[in-house]
Amino acid sequence: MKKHFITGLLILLPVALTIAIVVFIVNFLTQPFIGAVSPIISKYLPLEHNVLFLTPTQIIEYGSQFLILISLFVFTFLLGMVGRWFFIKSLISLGDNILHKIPVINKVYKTSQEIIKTLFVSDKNSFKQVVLVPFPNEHSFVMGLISKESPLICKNKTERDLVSVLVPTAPNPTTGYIFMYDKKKLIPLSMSAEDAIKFIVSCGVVTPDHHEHIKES
Amino acid sequence: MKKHLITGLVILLPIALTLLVLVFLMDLLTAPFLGIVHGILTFLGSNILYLQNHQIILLFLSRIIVLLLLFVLILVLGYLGNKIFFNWLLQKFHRIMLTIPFIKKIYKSIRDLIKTFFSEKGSIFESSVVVNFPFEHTYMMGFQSESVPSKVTDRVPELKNGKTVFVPTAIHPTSGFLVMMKEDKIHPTEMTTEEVLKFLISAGLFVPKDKHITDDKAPN
Repeated sequence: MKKHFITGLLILLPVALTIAIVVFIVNFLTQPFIGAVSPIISKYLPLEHNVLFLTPTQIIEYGSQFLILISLFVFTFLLGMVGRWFFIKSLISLGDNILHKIPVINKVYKTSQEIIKTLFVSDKNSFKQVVLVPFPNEHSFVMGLISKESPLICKNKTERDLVSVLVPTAPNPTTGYIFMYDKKKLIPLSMSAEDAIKFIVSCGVVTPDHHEHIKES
Repeated sequence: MKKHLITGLVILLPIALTLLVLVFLMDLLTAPFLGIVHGILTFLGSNILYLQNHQIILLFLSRIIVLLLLFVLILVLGYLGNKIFFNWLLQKFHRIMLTIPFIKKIYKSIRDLIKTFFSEKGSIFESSVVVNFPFEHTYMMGFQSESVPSKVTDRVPELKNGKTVFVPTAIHPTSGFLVMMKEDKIHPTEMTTEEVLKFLISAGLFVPKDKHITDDKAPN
């Protein structure tokens, strides 16, 4: 009985969690527009009867979510295409200038613009290389991901060749510390960033060795 | 008066908190299916059971039915999973999931994590330990996990017999640090996992009963 239960959980849980995460992302993306889209659909597509198990409101909700996702994708794509034309480019920079002049909004806009620009433009090697660093003392080590070279101000002040390393907390890797380590202190590991994150999320249970072990059996 | 009030709180609070956690878990598990079952039950309720005026009973009933169905579904899946034909089907399903872009990344990571968690025997953490953290003169409680992965020991041979230790933060033990240490820097304790968690959640107010502090040498 217990054996069957655990096998069943093993089959069901990955699917359930995957669905939960996808649903969360879809809801997050479509939530701002659903209020505008679903009344329009229900107006032009009057459904009165259940289809299979779905009530009319559910059909309209899922349908509009699907529509929103597709139109978001198309919109982003078109914006990127059109944004390369000269005329549109000057229009965008005009809008940019206006946004920079509105108080309060310009602070938020500037900060988010700069962060997103660096995220997309910076070199692709960020957070790819896994390193072992001594933390919090010389006798213990933690895994971290190399971000990039530390700011010049810090390098010049300390007169050291510093590198910024992200050391995530376990088991939730969305918080952590940015340490600036001397390059000599870093011990590079031949591991993928994905494996390092799995190691941290599982509190050290899932290691790359384990992975190979499962594949063999 | 004040004494009685506090005694009453001590009796009532654990029950209330337990109920809260149970209700939260039940809501979490049943929420995705509640709509369907509740719809069917309302239909049945108004036609057969004459329960249409008892919305709370209906809701509660549908939650219990969902829980039971989930339990049965898991059992049946587990039973079938050991059969050859169904196993072949499952392999096909995994293959399909791993070809869908974007979804395959989420699915693969979750599956790897869950597989290892279940293939471990007993609890994830082998024992509770005391380690030097953050430096030599201070100590923190933590949980010992697995051995240090070979990709790490390849580069740092001194960690060869070392262990991975999870050092949780206090009050919320759901985040913390995962440090790798040499074996002789890790001092095992006789405390159970629950006792360490209680110690952390209560910010050190909870102290385990005397039987455990037999003649425990202080780590040096």
